[in-house]
Amino acid sequence: MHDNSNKTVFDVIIIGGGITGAGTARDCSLRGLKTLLLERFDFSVGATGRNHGLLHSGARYAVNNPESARECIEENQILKRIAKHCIEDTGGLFITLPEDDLNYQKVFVDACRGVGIKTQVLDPQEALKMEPSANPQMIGAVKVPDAAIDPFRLTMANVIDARRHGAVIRTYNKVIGFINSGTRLTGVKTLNMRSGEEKTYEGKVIINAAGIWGRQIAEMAGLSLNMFPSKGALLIFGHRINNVVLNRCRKPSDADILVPDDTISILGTTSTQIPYDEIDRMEVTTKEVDLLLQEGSKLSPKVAYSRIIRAYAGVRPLVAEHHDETGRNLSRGYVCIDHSERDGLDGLLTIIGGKLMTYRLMAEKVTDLACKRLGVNKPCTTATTPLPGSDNYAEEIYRRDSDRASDRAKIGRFGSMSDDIKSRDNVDSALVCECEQVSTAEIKYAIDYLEATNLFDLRRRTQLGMGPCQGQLCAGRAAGLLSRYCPVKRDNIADLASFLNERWHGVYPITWGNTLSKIELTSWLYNGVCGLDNYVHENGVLINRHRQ
Amino acid sequence: MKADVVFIGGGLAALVAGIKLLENGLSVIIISAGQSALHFSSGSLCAMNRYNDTEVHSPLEYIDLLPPDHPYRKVGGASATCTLLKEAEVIMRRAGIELTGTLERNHYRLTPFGVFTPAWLTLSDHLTLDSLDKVPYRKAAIIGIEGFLDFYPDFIAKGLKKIGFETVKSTVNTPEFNLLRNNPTEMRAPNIARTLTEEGLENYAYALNRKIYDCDVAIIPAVVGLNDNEPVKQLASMVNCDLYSVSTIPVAVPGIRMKILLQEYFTSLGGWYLMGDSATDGIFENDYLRSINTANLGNTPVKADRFVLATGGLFSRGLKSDINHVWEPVFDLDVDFEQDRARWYDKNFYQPQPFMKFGVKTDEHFRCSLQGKTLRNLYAIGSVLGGDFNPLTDGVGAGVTLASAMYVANKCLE
Repeated sequence: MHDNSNKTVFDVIIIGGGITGAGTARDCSLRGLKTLLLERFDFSVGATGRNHGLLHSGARYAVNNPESARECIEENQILKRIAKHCIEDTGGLFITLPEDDLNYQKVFVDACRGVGIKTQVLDPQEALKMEPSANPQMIGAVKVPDAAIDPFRLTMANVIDARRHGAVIRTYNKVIGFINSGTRLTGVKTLNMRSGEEKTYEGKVIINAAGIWGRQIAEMAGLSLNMFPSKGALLIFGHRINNVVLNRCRKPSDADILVPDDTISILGTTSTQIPYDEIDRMEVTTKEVDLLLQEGSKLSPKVAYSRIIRAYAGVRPLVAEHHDETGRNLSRGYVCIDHSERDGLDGLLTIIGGKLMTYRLMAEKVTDLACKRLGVNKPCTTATTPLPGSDNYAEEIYRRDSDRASDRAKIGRFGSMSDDIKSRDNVDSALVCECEQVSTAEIKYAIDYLEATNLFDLRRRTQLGMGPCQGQLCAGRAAGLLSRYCPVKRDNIADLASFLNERWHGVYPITWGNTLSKIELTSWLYNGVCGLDNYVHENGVLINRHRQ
Repeated sequence: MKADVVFIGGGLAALVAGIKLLENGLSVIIISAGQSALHFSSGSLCAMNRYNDTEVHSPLEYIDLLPPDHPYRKVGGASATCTLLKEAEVIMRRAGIELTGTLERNHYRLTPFGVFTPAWLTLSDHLTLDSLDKVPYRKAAIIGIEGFLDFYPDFIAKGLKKIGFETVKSTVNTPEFNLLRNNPTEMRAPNIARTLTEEGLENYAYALNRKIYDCDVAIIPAVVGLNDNEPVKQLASMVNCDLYSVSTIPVAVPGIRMKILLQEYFTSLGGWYLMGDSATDGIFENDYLRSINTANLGNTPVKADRFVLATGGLFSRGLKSDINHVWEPVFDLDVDFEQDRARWYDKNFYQPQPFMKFGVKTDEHFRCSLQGKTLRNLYAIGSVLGGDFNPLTDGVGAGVTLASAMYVANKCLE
C-alpha cells in the first residue's frame, strides 16, 4: 500500500489512541474530516485499559456531582444502543452494610431520581436473590442500571469505524514536536518507535487527547496544563464471583465496586494522589492488595477466598481547567480547551479528563469545536450510529448457536464482525489460548486487519493471555504464530520475554496459594524447559517495556 | 498395610530411591497423587549449571565451594555426590531410559526457543552438543507439524544459525494428524505421540523424508515415544538422515516417557505404586512416625519403619501457601520461608525468585522436624526440600533431587 499520509494536509490530527482519541477519530471521520490518529504505543494502553470496565449508571456520582451523574446516565443509555457487543447489561446494586448509615440510602435515591437514574429500593432478601454473592448482612439495597463494558473492544470498534470512514491510523508513532507558523500550530513531528524514522504531518487542527500524558503534549507546544494523577489499584478474580455489579451505598471510597466482566470479576479501586513523574511506573503494592481484599470482602464475602489472577493499577487523568496551581478545583468531569482562547495559540485543542463512560460526549464536544474552527457544518451522529460489531446484523449473530466454545467467544468479542474471521481449515481452528478460547484464525485476523504486531497488541485485540493462566501456555504459541504470519519482523523471542514480564508485574503482588503454584510452573516452563532467561541475559533484552 | 519404606509422592525422587531399595531386597510402597513434575520435564536433567554468576562446565568442581547446608554438601560433598548421582544414572538406564551426558562435563541441549543451555543428562533422542564451537552437522531440516503450535521452527532455526548451521524450515501433515485436528484442543504433543505407531509412524516417516532435501540432520518436535523408546528407534531407522527431537511446551512426551519407564521398572521389581491416593496425616509417637493415613484407604493405616516425604515443591502441592504462610500439607512439618510476603518474589521474572528456596527444614541426614523437634524416621527428598539454593537458576534441580533420594535410600538400608 502506498503511503501518501505525509503529503496530505489533514483537517484534524489527533494525538492519543485511548478511548477519547479513538472516539474523536470516529466522530471527525463520520463528519467527513480528513483525520489522522497518532498513538505512541498501541490502542488502550493508558487509563482506557486500566479501569473497572464499569458502564456507570451515574448513581455513584448522583449525590456529590449531579452534573457528572446526568452525563453518565445519558451516555449509559446511548452506549447500550450503539456498542452492544462491548456491553453486558448486568444491572447493579448499591448495598448498605450495618457499618454504613441507612439514612444515606434515601439521600442517594433522591439524588438519582433528580438526575434521571432509575432506581428501585429492594428488600435485602430480594437483593440476595438477585445477587447471591452479595454480603448477606446488608441492611439495604438499591437496584440501578449499571453494566459491564469492555474498553479494549470499545476502542477497537471506534478505530475500525474511523478507518472505514477514511481516517489514517498510525500506532507506534510518537509525537515529538510541533510545527509552528507564528502563533499557529500547523503540524506535528513524529518518531516511529519501531524504525526510528522521523516524519512530519500537516494538519489544520491538532487535538490533544493524550490523557495523563497530555501535559507533556501541552508542554511541547510551550503551554502548561495542570494534571493531577490519581492512582487506582484493582484486582481481577479468576472466575465470575457476581453477576450483578456490586457497589457500596456510601460516599465513594476504597474497594467499593465489584464488576463482573466476561468470565471474571474486577474489584477496585484505591485512590492515591501520585507525583506526575511516577505515571509510567505503576505497580500495585502488597499493602494495596491487603486493603482491597479487606474492603472488598465486605461487598461479597467470596472475595476473601476466591483466586486472584492479577493486580493492576491505572492513573486517572484528573485535570484543572484553568491555571489552577492548587489543584483544589479538581473534577472527574472532562475539560475541553481551545488554546487560541486560553493561551493565544491557534490550531490546538485539548480534550482531557473525564471517564471511559463519557468518551463519546467528549469526542462530540471537541469535534464540534474542530468543525467550528474549520468552518464545517455537520452534525454529530455518533449517538445514533451503531459501532462496527453492534449493527442490526449483531442480533442475528447472537441468536446463532455454536457447539464450539471458541466460536462463541469470537462472537462475544467481535459481535457482527465475527463473520470476517474465517477458519480456512482445521489448522486455523486450532486453539492458541485455552483460557480465553482464542483460535489461530483470530490471531491471524488481528495481525492482518487490527494492526497487531506483537503479543501486547494481540492481548488487547483478543484477550490472549488475560485468563487464569496469564499467558503460561498461549504466549509461546502466539509468539510462534507472529513469527510466521506477521509482516512486521521483530525479535519475537524478546517480545515474548517482555510480555511474560509484563504479565508477571500483575501477578507478583498476588503471589500466594494457587497463583504461586502456577507461577512456579511458569518459571520452570519458560526459564527451565525453554531457556528464556538465558536468551534475555545473553541478548541483553530490555524486559521493562511493560506498556508496549 | 506395611512396608519397610513408604514414599509419600511418586515422582523422580521416590521412583529412583524406591527402585534402589527394591533392588536391595526391601519392600516399598509409593503413594502418588497423580501427575508429577516429570510430566513437565524437558527430557534433560541438570546437576549444576551456574555458580554465582558464572556458567558451570564441570559441576563436580564447584560442589565443595557450596555452603555446608547445601544438599550436595550434606550428602558428603563432591565425591559423595558423584557416587550418588552416577548410581542414580545407572538405575535410570536400567529402567530403560536412554541417556547422553556425563557428570564430568555439562553438554548443551537445544531448547524449544532455539537457546542452548547446559545439562548433565539428556534423553539420547534429543539434540545435544558437546561444544557450541564445533558443529557436527552442516544443514538441519527443521520440520514441524502443520497446526501444532507448541514447536517453534523459526526460533530453533535462529538458534542453530547463530552457531553455524544452515537450516531449512518446513511442516508436514499425515492422515492421522488430520483426524486429531477435528477437535481444536487435541493437537498437543502426548495426543500426537499416541497416533505414532505402526501405520501412523510410517506415514510420518514418509512425510519427513520428503522434507529432508540435502540436509544431514532432521529436527522434529518431541512427539514420538510416549511409553518407551521403540517408536523413536523405528522412526530413526525409516528416516533418511540423523534424526533428533526438541522438547515442546509441556505437558511433554520426554518426561512422561521417563516417568512410565521408571514406574514400570519399579512395579516389575515388586514395588507397590498406589496411584491416585494421597497421604492425609500421620500418627506420631514422640519423634517416631508410626503410620500414616491416606485418602483412599480409610481406616487402614499404612505402616513402615521409615517414611520418605517426596511430595514436590509448590506447583506439585508438596508445599501450600496462603496470603502470608507457606506450609507442608501432610504433617505440617517445619518449613523455611520468608515472613514478609513482599520478599517472596523478585519483580524481574528472569531473576532468581526467592520463593524457589522455600521448603521443609531437614537435619544433616534429611530428616524432617515438627515444631522444632527432629523426627527419627521421616525423611524429605526432592523438590520439597528447602534451603539456600535455587533449583531453577542454579540448575541443580534434578541433581539435588537425585542426590538426596540416593542418600536417603542408603540411610534406609543401614
